[in-house]
Amino acid sequence: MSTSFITIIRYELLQASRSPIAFIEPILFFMLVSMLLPLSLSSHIDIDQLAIIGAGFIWICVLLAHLLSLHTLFRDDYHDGTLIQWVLSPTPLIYIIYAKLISHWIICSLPILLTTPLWFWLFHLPEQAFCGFLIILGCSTVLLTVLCAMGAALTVQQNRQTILQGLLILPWYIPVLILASFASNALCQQQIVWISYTYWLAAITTLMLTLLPFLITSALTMMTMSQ
Amino acid sequence: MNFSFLHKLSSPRYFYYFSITYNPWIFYISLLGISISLTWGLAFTAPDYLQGNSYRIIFMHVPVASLALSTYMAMAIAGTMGYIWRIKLAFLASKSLAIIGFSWCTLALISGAIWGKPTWGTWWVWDARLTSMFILAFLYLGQIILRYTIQNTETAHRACALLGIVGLVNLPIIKYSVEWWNTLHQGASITLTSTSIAPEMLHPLLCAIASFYLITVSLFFYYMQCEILKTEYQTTWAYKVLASKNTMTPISH
Repeated sequence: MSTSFITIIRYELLQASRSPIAFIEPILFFMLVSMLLPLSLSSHIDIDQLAIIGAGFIWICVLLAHLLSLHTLFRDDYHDGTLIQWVLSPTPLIYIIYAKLISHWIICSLPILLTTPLWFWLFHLPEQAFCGFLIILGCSTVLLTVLCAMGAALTVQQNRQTILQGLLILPWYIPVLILASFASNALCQQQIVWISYTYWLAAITTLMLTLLPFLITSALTMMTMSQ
Repeated sequence: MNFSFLHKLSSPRYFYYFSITYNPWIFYISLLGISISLTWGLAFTAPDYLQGNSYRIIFMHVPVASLALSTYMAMAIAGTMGYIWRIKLAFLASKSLAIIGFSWCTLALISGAIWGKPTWGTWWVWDARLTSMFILAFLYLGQIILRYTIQNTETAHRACALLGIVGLVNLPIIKYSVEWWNTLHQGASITLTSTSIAPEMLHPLLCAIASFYLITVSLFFYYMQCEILKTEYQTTWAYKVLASKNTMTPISH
């Protein structure tokens, strides 16, 4: 059981390293949009305001970067027949889903986490908030990965990327957006209350991380069986 | 207790004839209820001491907004029932309720905007309840669009049922997080045990809520009749019904 779990993670990472565009795309998008924000605001805006707007804007960028890479999650496996082999294999599909989630998080979310110092410097965020930001960002990217996987599983039969995936995921992302921006704002103003928001975020993450993979499993089984 | 009545209702044919028989009654009673409660509320109730006459849109806004929420609940439960017990009719119910609920949600947003202009001075504010109603509209829209993008009808219904379950889990989380974010809209004036509305305004309001619920049931039955004929057109009884309605060719997907 655990060998196939590790095999799938290794296979996914190997596949991503053969075409490194998968790693680079989210970072590139993230950097481009981060550059555009200060340009779109007036040049007279002072540094404190930029920090407030930037800290909120990050969460929209994170969402869009994840939506951009969402199609790599299940669609290729569905079209080349890998998915149906996984459904039919003796390994429970839920293990494979968790392996896919972990590898997708490493490929898409970890690069964004690694660029944190850069946008701290770009948006003049206070340096003492750095560790807290990493915790909030880590938590919300895990949650976002699970939500994206649910959206991707429901739309796996579509050949091209549509606005539908965004439409499905956006309402589920709103609590994350609110809690994460509350927490990051409190963090920038050095209020201790950011911890309680982060606890809420972690609680929702735990709930979704335990509940949604089961629904993803049944969605994928259904989609492959009706192929 | 004898539940065979309920089991019979899950047969499309039985359901069709049941709704053909009783739906006209429900429809005309609800129309009567709406006209009575709106006339009562609009013409015979005293104006509000603060908002004057502009508050009278409450007799339409509150029923529609509460229906938008409860229809989502009904839609998700119908989808779940269909998913677990594989009842074809429950999927059709879920499909019909999605479109009805989306209409109520849109109406609630529009009537809320019209009410907001004289009282808050603006058509739209980023307030908790308005925002969560806006999000609810998107949840409905996701249901409606997802159903049309999947080719296989059975898979489409089951995928929408799963989407409804995820939405049902997320709905309270979204609601409370949005409430944390901002609150301007007043809290609920009516709960099951107490009320802060004057009785002369409350009675037409309750009457309006009841008749709007009733007309939703009636619209649901009308919608179900169409959906049943659309899916069952190959059976003999549905073919006869369609032929008797002077339809030249049976409706196909």
